[in-house]
Amino acid sequence: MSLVQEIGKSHPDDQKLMAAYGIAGLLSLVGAFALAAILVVIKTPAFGLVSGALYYRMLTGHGILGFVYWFAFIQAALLIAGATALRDGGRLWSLKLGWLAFAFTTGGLVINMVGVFSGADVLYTAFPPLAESFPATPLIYLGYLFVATGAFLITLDFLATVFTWVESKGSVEGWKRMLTEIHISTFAAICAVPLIFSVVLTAFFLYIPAFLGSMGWLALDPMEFPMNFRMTYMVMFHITHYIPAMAMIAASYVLVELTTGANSVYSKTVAKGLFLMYPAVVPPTFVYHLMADPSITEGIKIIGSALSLLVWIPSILHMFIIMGMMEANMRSAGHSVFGWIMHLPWKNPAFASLIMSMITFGIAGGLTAVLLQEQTASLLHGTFAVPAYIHPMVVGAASLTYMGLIYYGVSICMKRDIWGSLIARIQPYLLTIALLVFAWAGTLAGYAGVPRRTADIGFGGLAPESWQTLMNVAVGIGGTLTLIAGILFFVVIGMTMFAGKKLLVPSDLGNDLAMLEVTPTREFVYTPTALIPGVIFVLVVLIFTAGAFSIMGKWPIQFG
Amino acid sequence: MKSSNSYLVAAFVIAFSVLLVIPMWAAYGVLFPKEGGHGAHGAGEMLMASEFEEKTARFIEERRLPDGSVRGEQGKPIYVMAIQYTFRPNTIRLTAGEQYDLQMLSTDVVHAFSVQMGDTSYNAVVMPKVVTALKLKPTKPGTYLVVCNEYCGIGHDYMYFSIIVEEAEGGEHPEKMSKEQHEKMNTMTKGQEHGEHR
Repeated sequence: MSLVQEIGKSHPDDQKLMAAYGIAGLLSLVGAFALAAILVVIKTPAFGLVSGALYYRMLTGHGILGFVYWFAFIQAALLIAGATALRDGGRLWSLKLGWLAFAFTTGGLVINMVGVFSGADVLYTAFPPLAESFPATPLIYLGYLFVATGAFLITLDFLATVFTWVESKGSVEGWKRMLTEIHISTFAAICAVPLIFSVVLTAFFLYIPAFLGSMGWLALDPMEFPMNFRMTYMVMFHITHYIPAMAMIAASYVLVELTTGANSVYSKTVAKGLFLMYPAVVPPTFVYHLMADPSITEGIKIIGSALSLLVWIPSILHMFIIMGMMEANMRSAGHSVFGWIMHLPWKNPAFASLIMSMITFGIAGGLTAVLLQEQTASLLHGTFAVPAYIHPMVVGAASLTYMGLIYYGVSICMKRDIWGSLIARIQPYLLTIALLVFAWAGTLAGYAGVPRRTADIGFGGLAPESWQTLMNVAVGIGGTLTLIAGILFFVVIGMTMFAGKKLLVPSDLGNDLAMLEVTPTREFVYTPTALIPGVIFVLVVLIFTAGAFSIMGKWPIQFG
Repeated sequence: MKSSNSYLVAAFVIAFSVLLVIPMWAAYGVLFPKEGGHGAHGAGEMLMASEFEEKTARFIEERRLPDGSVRGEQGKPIYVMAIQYTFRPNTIRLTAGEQYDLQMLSTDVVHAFSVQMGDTSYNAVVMPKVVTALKLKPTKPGTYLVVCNEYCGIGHDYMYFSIIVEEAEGGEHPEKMSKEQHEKMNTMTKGQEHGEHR
């Protein structure tokens, strides 16, 4: 049975919950894009419409909707998919618990948005003591407690579902059989559970006292609490963004199978084992967010630098396996060393999303190398280079992969063909180009010293002239194109839901999403081309760090 | 199906080689190229805001020039206090070739020190309670804009000051400032006032 048929077999009640999460996630993303449109207008110097008060409010809302809720909702949908759709019509352990989790997450969204629009201009970080000066801040902390509870409950439901798959829970063999049987992506979700629970527990530890303190119900040390909050927050924040990283790679395994029908030529145990690396390597690498903080000792920073690139290892290897799946599959049809690339289903929007997300993930990842090192972080810390890599990571890599899955999700669940083939085909490429323009000009702006999270970068006319040009390109062109690509995606998905052509055979897919037909003419199990992206990545890290050291050596003021 | 695991081994070698990049730079000798000394090594000193405020006020009082700027003294601490939405002092004069000891502390929320050096910048976080200590050695005369690059409230974009680096000997004195520098100074003072009154 094909994966599409398997997904299509999931129970309608589970599908409803999954769809609710998916739609709520999409609405959060629409909101994040809508606020981003205002940010683009304010932050493009050429428009000359700087507004500090509006900017910080919109930025707070944009960050919370995009980074917290879009991910919280869509990743919950992916957990449910991993527990049901990838399990041959399996059922969720408790549908009621799933809906309760959904209610908590939605409640958090509403509370947070009321907080933002009542004037909590605290950005999504909401650090005390700054946050305490805004009366609406308690609503930000309370909303976060709700979304953390929602994430905890849906993860619990997922875990309970996994437990039901083991017939005799006392036998090691039973567990081993279950873990061997399950799809790589479901295994990845299991590996993400320790990270999700760490985030949830840290969130409670942070936001319960912060909420009580901001309401005046709990006395907090005005010096100690903000410092501890900042440190603990960084640990939580660090772990948080590896959840989309894992989910994105897990989703990539599903997408490569759906779009090309390829299977791994390497043992699935290797891929599964690589997911186990994340819970091991992610927590100890949190130090790299604090490279410019005076409160961290140099010794810890050096250890942090040495460990920082460790988190890339499983991702580089997954990229190799996924590329290898395609290469071996395509070359079994007789294509040449590079010729197989031309024959991939580039017109399938989900496939384009998959490849483009891998490209942006690699490029944006290479850009982070300079920021993660104790010695070079001072070059870019707090500059526009940070959003310049975060956006390709969050929108270009993680979200684009999710968008690819959404194309399938909507088509399979609604039993409709994709509306607007041409728009759907263009959308992933346009989004990628837009984000790469944003990343390229934004990184240069970061190197030029443009501060992030600053409404007016004019500084009374004292700012370097290059800043305006770079920001006009990064935000004015890159940002606007990103918005257009986002709108195209929302239009295609919205129209497919209501106006897409009904599919006659429900287990079928329309032309756009149909699996690539590969007729094997030989057995081919070698994957040399798949090694190339990893080599390029290592070289990029090398070149970027070399460039950073070179710049630092030429500074007109030397720091020590 | 039999697969060629040698490619998988190669992929592991490539992936793990990324860990060699930083030790390689250390071996190559480009790590720790800073001439300034060891100011940023180890965590910063813990200090109460009131104590730092006093030190800053004394420093400004002792080193203030007629035009309102403050001249740093080689080897002695230069105190810079970050406060919503300004830095004190707001213009510092240094001499090229000399080494200075910069000490910064916030007395309210977290701020940052981001000094613009033409087409690049140096960035550090300035927190309450923990002193950000940096050794710095200017090598090229010029006026350097310093901005706060950590969001510190709605007046954040009005928070900046300047470091003026002058020639070592026979160079410019504040009394002999160029017309351009005078203009920049005036603009800056206006900006700071605007920030403080928001």
